[in-house]
Amino acid sequence: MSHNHLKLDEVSRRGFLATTAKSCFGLTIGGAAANFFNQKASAADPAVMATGGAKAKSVIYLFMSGGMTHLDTLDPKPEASSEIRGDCRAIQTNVDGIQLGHCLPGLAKQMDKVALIRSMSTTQGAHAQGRYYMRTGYTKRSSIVHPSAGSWASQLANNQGGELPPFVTVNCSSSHPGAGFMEARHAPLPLGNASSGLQNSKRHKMSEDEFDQQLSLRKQLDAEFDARYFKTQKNVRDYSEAFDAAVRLMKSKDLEAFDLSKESKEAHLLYGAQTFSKGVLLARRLVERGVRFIEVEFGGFDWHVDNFNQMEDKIPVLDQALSALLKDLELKGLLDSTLVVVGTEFGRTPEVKSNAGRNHYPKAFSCLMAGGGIVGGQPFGSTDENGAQVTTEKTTAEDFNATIAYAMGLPHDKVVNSPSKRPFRMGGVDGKPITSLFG
Amino acid sequence: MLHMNRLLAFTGIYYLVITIGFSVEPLTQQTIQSTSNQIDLFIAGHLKEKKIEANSIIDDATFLRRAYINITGRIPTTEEAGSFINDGSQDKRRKLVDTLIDSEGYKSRMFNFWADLLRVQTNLDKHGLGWHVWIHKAVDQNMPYDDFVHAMLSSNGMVSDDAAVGYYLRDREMLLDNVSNTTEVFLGTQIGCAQCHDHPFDDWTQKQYFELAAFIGNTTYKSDAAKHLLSKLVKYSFEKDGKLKGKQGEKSRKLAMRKKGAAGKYYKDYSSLFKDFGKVAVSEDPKKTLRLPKDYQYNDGKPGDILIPKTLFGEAVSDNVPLEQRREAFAHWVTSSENPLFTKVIVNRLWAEVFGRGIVDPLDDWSDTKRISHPELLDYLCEIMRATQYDTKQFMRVLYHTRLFESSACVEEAKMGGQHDFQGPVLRRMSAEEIHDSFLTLEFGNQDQYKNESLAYRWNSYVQSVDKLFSMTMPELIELNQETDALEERIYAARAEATKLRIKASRARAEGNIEQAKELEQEARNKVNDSKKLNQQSSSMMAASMMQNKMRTKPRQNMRSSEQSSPSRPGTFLRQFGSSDRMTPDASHSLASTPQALTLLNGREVAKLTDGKGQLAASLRKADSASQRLNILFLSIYGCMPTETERQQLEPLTTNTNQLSTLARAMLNSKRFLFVQ
Repeated sequence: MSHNHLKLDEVSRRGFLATTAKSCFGLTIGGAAANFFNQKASAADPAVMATGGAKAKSVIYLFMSGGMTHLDTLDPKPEASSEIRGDCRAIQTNVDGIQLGHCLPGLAKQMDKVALIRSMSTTQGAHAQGRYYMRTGYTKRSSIVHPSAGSWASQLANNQGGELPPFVTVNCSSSHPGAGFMEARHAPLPLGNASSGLQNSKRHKMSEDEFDQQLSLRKQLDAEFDARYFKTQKNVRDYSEAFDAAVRLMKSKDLEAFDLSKESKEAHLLYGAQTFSKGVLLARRLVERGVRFIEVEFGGFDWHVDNFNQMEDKIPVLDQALSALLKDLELKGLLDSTLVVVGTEFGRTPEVKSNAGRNHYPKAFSCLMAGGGIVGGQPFGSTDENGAQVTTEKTTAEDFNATIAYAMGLPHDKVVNSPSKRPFRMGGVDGKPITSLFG
Repeated sequence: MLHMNRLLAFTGIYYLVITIGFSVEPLTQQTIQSTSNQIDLFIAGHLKEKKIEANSIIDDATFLRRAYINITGRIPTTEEAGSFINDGSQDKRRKLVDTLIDSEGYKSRMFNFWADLLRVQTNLDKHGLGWHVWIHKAVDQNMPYDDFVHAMLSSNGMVSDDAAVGYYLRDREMLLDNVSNTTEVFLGTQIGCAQCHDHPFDDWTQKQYFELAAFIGNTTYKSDAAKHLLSKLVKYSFEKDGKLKGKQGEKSRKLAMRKKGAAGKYYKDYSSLFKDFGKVAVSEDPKKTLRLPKDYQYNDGKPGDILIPKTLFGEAVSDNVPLEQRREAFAHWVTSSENPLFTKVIVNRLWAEVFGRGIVDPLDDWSDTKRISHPELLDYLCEIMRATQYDTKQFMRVLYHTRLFESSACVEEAKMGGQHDFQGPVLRRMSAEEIHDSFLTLEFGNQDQYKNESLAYRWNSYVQSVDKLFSMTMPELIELNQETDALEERIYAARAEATKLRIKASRARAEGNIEQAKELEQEARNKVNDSKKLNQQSSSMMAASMMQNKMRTKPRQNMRSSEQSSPSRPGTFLRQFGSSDRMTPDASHSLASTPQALTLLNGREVAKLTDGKGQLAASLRKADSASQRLNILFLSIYGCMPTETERQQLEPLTTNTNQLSTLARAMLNSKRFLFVQ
């Protein structure tokens, strides 16, 4: 065994978008985008294709952070007692026999595009642990960081780095596992506020001439330094590369992918006015330009108190953005090639607690998937009359991630070794894709 | 030559021990010089044997910059640079090293080192802050390394009494990972693989892993003291409310309380008062035993076997260590000077801190050490560490006084995992914290003495409220509980109103009434703020303190990175430049990226230095000649004076404000700035 080799991996994992030619994003987009939609999702297995998988070229993963109440959204229980129902009413959808919480009227009209997974069940009842498990398919450890689904997608699709990053996160918290132990080229580009675009990509109070002068002055100041170290030291060369790439990016059309002001007023109105809504709009924009995996986090679902008022505040924001996204993707002919996922770390206790709150509940909760080959209008799995126990088709975080892999035509059980040579898979230890969602 | 080296090594240490004995006084200049000379002799001997030339001695300005960044974690100020360059004395380099190592900057830099290695997360529950503050204090007091590690590994009780338990609470419910991090960080031994199966390359078996973990296998995170207090309170309330008839013995009282869960109501009622005490302490639970896992597959044990604690190497520990002494025994084994790796691993880590590269590389994996390049030097460094009684500051001081630290940086890259000859230190990019703190220096000058007192303040007020809680009488506790409940309700009510306002606001926003939406949003914010004010006005500040789930503190813009909560958020300046996410040990990096370049080219961090109200911009405005402006730029950013050629080329640019700013930015973007030569 070569320690050198392992250690190199270990170090490069720690780099973020280290600027080798392979990992620089920032060239022109034309080539990649032009080819992108003509390609089949890479590594697609014909057998998977035959069963309806492998259609998703991109994934938009909306993560409801804090633990989304399943009883008041995707798995309402109109027959249960008021101690369970609280102030949530169930509404009909455009699919017979499927009801949603009353704060999701927009989604209800598009239920035929959506597969609900009402049988999620894990053992991780704390926020950080629950999020980590859902995002990676592994339980949280403090000796290794597992890659999140977006980085797995990048790795398994054999992303060589291109014009745009393969994986973008919007508004994700600092505990996001990112690429975990994987190399830098699989790491997400973290964006904060979607409306402000890619940070620092425009000249700051400087004319183009001054900017160019600054570039040449820098080279002049570094002439002696470079004469000494450029040939022998990779990190020194990488800094030259990084600046060149940054300048290319600033002057290229790529930048426009991150610019929401290029979207029409109608589009903005359709998605909504909140930070999250903008993130979803940006995700659609990035999908159009070939980014494979975008994760948008929507925080603030931890309603131990005042569940039903909070719900009236928050769920409509999700409803508007999500139904806008589904409509928009369909209109643009992208729905079949884009998997839309709504995930969360756990559900909430069926009994309404004091102060009208619900506590953490990993034993039973709901997520959804739409587009990307998913056959809509189906509820998958079920819970009992109170939403307390999974009664059919228990689904783990491993299964959930394996299903994302399946939709993308990626081998969820392919082993990828960490730098310490421990074997890991996108579908966790024993995840099985829910193939019946596809057709 | 080698023989002579050995002899000198011996006399050097003899001298060292004689000089300092068992005191913790700083080493004398004479001891420092003889000891650092000895290190240089080992280095020279190695180079001679391999027929390699040592690198030349660097000039004053390069030394100045290297010393400031390496010892204090930031570049020198214009004044600091100027006074060193103009100092004509022979021993000014030695004086500088000794001044810097005693400075506040050294403490800041060392805190960053430990926080990265130990994965400090300031906002992790309550213990995160406590442990952060504890490490800060240990660094401030230059706590000997063996005591520092021993204190953490043997920590016990509630975090408010012994904040070092943060070491274990950091990995709450991840005991096996905690053990693997302990061996990796302090003993350079990677046993992580053996958590699931025998180690594929090294000798460790899965059973050995579990036997080592058995030292802390009984760890529980619930506070016994709180449990006792709660049951005392329940018992008291039970009796007070007349639930017991006449005089009853202990046995019948227990029966009565147990009947139909009669006590449950009280436990529930008091739960908010004690809700945090399930994850604030470290102690042993005799019922919680570590067993071999269900899928154990080897012949040396069966699934479910209970394990007897055994050490991996070095001193053995008796099979009969009582439960309550196991953590202590574990701490002793790890930190003992008899442990074959404890001292070697830390001297190698500190060596790498000073020279950019360990004698053994990687720092956290000593499994393949058959070909250590400088075995005698390594032994000698261990002797120094032991002789200074694990005083890391004096140890590093010795290293900073070597000729090696004055040698020019290696032109060739150090090979990962290979041997390094140490003709000179390694060229390295400044760490994220060093760049951040250097920018801070350019904007505000020396900020080393400013400490983020709010961290310690918040922590101390928490500790006081816990102390007070435990000294309260039963009636006082009942009263406090009522206050807490009332306060809780008031806060909930305020938040509920705020939520309603936000709903109205989002409707208004959706309808395009942005002004109205903004007003409503402001009103909602006020409601929440009012509930916080309620908090402070409460008759019992303590009730308020108990209510806080996490003790977040705001980032301090004008303070050094060591004073901020960690980790910083993804996408922030520090994270962009490779500051650790504090998830795994020593996870920071200094590799290039496109977003970094974008920040340096267009970010406000650079712009405010060149165009803002900061010190650099102000002194440039004040300067009355072109040559003075160029001097200021070079001294403050590069820590040197411009050469004649540079003066000819660049001085004309300093007569025009825009051009001056363009030049300053180019300098801050340059590798000459970003790298430490």
